[in-house]
Amino acid sequence: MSLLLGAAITLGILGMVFGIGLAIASDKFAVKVDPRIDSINEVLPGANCGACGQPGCSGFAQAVVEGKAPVSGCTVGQDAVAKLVANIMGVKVENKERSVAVVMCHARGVKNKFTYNGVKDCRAAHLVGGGFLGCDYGCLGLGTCVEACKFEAMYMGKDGLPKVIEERCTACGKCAAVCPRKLISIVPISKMVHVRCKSLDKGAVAKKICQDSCIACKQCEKICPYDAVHVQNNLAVIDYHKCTSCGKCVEVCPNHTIINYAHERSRDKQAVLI
Amino acid sequence: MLTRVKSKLKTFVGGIHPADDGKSLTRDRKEVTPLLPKTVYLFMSQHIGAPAKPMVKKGDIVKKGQLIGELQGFISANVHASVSGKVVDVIPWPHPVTGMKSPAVIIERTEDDTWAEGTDIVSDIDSISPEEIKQRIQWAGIVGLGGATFPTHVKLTPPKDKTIDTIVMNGAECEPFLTCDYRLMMDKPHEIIQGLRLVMKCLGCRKAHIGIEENKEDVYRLFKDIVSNDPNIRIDLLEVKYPQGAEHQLIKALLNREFKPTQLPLEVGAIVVNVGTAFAVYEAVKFKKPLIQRIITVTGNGVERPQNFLVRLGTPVKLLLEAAQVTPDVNKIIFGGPMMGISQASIDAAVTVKGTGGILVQRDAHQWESHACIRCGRCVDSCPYGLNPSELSIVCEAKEFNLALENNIMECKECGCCSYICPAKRPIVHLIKFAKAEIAKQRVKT
Repeated sequence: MSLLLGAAITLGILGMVFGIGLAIASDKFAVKVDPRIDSINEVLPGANCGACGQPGCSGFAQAVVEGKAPVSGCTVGQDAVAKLVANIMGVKVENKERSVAVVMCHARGVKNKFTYNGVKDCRAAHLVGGGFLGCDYGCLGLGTCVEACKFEAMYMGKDGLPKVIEERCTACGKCAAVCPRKLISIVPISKMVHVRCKSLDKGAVAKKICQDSCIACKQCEKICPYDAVHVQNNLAVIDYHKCTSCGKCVEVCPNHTIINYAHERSRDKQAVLI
Repeated sequence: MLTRVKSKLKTFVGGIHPADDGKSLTRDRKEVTPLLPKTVYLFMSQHIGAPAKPMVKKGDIVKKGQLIGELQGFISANVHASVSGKVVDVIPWPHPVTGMKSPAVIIERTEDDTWAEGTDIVSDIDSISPEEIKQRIQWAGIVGLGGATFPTHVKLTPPKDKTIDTIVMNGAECEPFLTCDYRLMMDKPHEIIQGLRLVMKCLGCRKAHIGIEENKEDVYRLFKDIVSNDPNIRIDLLEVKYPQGAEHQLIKALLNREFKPTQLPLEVGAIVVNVGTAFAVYEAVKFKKPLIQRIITVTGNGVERPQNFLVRLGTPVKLLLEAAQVTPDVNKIIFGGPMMGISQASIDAAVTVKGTGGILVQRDAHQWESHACIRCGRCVDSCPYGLNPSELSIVCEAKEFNLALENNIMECKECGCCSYICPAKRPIVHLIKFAKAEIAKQRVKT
C-alpha cells in the first residue's frame, strides 16, 4: 500500500512542478501570431496550388496580413474568398471579373513528323526533335495540362485536344505553366473571340501543315473597328483590353482560325454531360 | 553477368558489353574522295556554349575556309565556310542535335574549291610558341570531336590554380558501330601523334597517355612503333566495354584517378583529347587549315554499302545516304552511335555538324513497349557513375524532381547503359533528360 502511495505522491509532485513550469513558459516564451492569419487561412480553398505566387495557402494568408499580397490575390477562391478576406482585413474589395483557361490550338489533320515512342508527357516529347507533331507550335495532345490541373477542370477531348470545364476552372494557371508550347492562355470569361493558333510559320508553310492555322492574311486587322487585332510575326494577336467580342473578324477569317468561343462553349458543355 | 571473367586489361567498374558491336561493317572501308555537296548548311551553334555570330549575309561570296561565324563569349567556337560559293540565306534551320530551329548559314557551292586567303600555309611546328598554338586552335574553331563538342581552346585554358600533368588521348571509340576514329588512326597515325605533341607543348605538359580498346590491336601496335623512342608517351590497351571512352572512365582506367561526375578532368590534373581532335589540331597548326571536314561512318543494316566518308561540315544527310546506297524501307536514322546518338526527325532537313561521327541507318528499328520496373538491379550494376537509374526513372516518371536531385540526377551523363540493359525497356535516359530539362527551367525561374 505504501508503495502505491509513494508512487502517487511522487508523480503528483512531478506533475505539479512540470505543470507550473509549462504554464510559466507558455506565458513567457509565447509566439505572438496575428489571429487574422489563422482566420484568413480558414476561408481560403486550401488547395495549396501556388497560383497566387505564395508558397501555399498559409503563405498567402501571412503575405496578406503583412501587406505583401492583395486581398483579392487568391485566383482560385475568386470573388467569394476575396470578400471574406477583405472582411477579415477590414478593407473593401471591388468585383473582379473571373478568368478561365483557353487552349489556343484547334489543330485538325496535322500529320506527325515521326513515330514517337518515348515518355508520355508533352514536355518530354517536345525535347525529342522539337516534338513529333508536323506543326512546331501546335498541341502535342499527351495531356500534361490535364494532369497538372488540380481542380479536375480539364479533360482530353475525342479530337485529341484538351478541353476546359469552365465551371471548375479557377484560372490558377498551372496548365499554362506546364505546356511546353505555351498554348494555354488565361483570359477574362466574357471574352468570346480567340485566335486559336500559335504558329509563327509563314502563311504558305502554315497552311500546308494545318488547315486551321493562321496564315497572316491581315483580313482581321483590316475589319476590326476597335484596333484590337494585329498580325505580329505571321500570327494574329488579339488585345483583350480593346476587344469587344463583336465577332467581325470571325466572319472574315478565311481559315476559321479566329473563332467565336460561345459556340465552342456550348459544345464542350454537351461533351461533359455525355 | 555474375560469371563475368575479370579482365586483365585496364578498365572501370560498370558499363556494358554490347553483343555485336557492328564495327566489322565499316572497319576496312576507307573514305573515298571527299563528297562535295551542292549546298551546305552551317549552323552557328555546332559546339557547347554560346552560338557564333554570323559574319556574312545573303548574297555574299565566300571561299573555303573563310570565317563565317565569330565566337562570342568565353565558351564558344568559330565556324568556317566548308565550301566556296554564294551565301543563299541565313535562316533558322532544324538542328540535328537539339531538334529546335537554330540559325544557319546556307552556302551554294561553286566549282572552284580553293582555300581562302590566309589559310593553307605550311608553318614550322618545331619553333612555334605555345601561345601561337592556342591562338590557331581557337581560330580554327576546333571542338572536341569525340561527340561532346566542347571548344578545345577553352579546354587548353585551365584555371591558374590547376596544373595539368598528363594529356590523355582517347582512342577507345567505345560506341558500337562507329569506326571513324579507327580509320583515322590507321591512316594518319603520325599526324595524330604530332597533334598530341602540339597539345602537350601548348600546355607545357610532359606526359601523355593513350588508351586504345583491345579490338583495335593493330592501331595499338602501329602507335607503339611510332612512339617507341619517346618515354613520355605511354600507350595501353583497354578492355572492350562501353563507355570506355568517356572522360571519367578513361582517366580511371589509365591513370587510376577518380573525380566527381560533376567535375572536369582538370581537377585531377588531366585533359582528355580525342584522336580526331588531335588530328584537327595538327591540320590547324601545321597547315593553317580550319575545321571544315571530318570522317563520318555511315553504317547500319539500312545501307547497302556501309562506309567511312570524308565529309564537309553541313553536308545534307541525303547525299551521304545516297552514296552509301540506302534501302527504301529505312525507319530510323541516328546521328552518332546507337548508345548516345540522337534520332533524326526528318531525312530532308538533317545536316551534319562538327560533332557528327557517325550516321546509323536502321531498317528494322524496334518499337519497344515499356513496362513497370521489375527491380532486377541490372541498371544499377551497369551505371558507370554509381547512380541508381531505377530509382531515378521512377521519381522522374512521377515528376518528383526534388527527389531526383536528391538521387544525384545531375551526375548522370546520359551514356545509355541503363536503358540498353533494362529488361522492362524503360526509357530511363529519356526520363532523366526530361527531368533535367525541367529542373533547368525551374532554376531559371528562381
